Amino acid sequence: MGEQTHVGMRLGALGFIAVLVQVTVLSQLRILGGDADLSPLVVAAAGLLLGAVPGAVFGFCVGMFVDLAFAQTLGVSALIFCLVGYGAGRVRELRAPEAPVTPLALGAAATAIAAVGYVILEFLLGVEAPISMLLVRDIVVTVVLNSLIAVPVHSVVRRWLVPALPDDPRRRRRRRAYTTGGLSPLSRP
Amino acid sequence: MARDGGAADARPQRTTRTLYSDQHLPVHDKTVRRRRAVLALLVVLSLILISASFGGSSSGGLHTMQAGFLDILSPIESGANKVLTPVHDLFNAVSDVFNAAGQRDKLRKEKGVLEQQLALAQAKARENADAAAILKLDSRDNLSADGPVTANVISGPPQIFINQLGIDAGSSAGIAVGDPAIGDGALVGTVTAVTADSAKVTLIDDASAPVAGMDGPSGETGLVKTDSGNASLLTFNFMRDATKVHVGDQIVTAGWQATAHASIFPPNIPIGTVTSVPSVVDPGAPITITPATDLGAIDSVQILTRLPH
Repeated sequence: MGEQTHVGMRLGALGFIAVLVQVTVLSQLRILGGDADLSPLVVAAAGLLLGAVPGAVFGFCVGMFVDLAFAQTLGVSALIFCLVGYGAGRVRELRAPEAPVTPLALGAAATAIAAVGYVILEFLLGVEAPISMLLVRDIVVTVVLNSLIAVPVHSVVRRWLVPALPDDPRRRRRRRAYTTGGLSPLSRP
Repeated sequence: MARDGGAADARPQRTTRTLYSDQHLPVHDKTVRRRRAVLALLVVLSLILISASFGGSSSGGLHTMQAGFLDILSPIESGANKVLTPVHDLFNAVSDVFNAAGQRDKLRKEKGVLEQQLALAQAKARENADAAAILKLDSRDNLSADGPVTANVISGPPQIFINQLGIDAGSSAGIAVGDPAIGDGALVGTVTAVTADSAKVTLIDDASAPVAGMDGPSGETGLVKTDSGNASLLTFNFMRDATKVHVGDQIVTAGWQATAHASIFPPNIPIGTVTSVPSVVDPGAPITITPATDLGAIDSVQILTRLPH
């Protein structure tokens, strides 16, 4: 099995479980009038770990899954999450993704972009929902809650994806040990 | 011209050095083009999906696919829901704890407001009941000819042994000293002091205001006075034949003046009910009467202003 297929399968499982948890658990837990949204966090974390193109594709697929699972207008979440995944991937390529604050800031930004983008798109599509302070409060609460869980979610996604990545340091070490017949003599005590 | 052009060609070109400006890597360009192409493709695909889904009919292919997907997902969703019920309940319990505190404070505020409204409603109901009793008394005893003036009680007895009420009507309303006061369907007392806009009513349980009373069933007449042993009771005295009075009899006003200074009350206004009579064991015991109205809870009275004093 190729490495790309391996990564793809892990991404598929990750997206499926994330949306399932979102549908069954998180969407029903109202905290301070809002609820946490796992999807943008997972997409942002995947984009940050894999890059712009895989992030955009993964975001599109997760968005499609969300649209199907929540019986929404198809393509709305796909478009938003696609852009979120692409943006997270570009952050990886342009900035320092290893900074400890990156997952937190990126999670908050991804959530805010997803929430505001969704509202704007629905508004453009003619959904007659009043733009009120209640909506603003919901968005703010969701951003705050997502910020709180952004680091653990990123950590889980990282643990899930990194073993399948070609530049995983552990795999590199294993490969080197296999090809050289053991660890470097320099590393021995 | 040619020379100018030659000089320009000879001058070294100044270029800004960036990471990729001086070395165009074909692999990098290809990566950038591929990345942008993928993004553009996904965005266009999303927009096509939005257009098709938004404009399409409910029986269209996309909606059918969506419905089919939901059919597949719903059992998984249901199963996951059952598995994750404890987690769900735990989060809900934590959330409920926070919500309960907020709801408790809100309900406490609402309770305070409702208690105020209830007190107000009870006061209104009491006023209505008093007014209804006065109207009933008016129609029963035909008091309208006696010039009744309705007044609200504005002060209670100032001291424990002075049984007076202050009312918010006085001489400007035609009230004069000696006018009888009725309230809550029964006799209340007599006006004993008057100003222009207020007056004092001495209650019938005051020792200084005896009332000429009559036993309703037998017609025996006597004087109703306060009971020296129990301020909340009245006594019925000076009858010709006390044996005709029985427990449960209603005592009403007799319609004549009890003393030289007492008011002349209209006849047949209820005063109270006989609660005890002299017995074989205690032949000297007084006949006691419980007032027909609670004299401590009167909110409004009616002063009869056209009776002869």
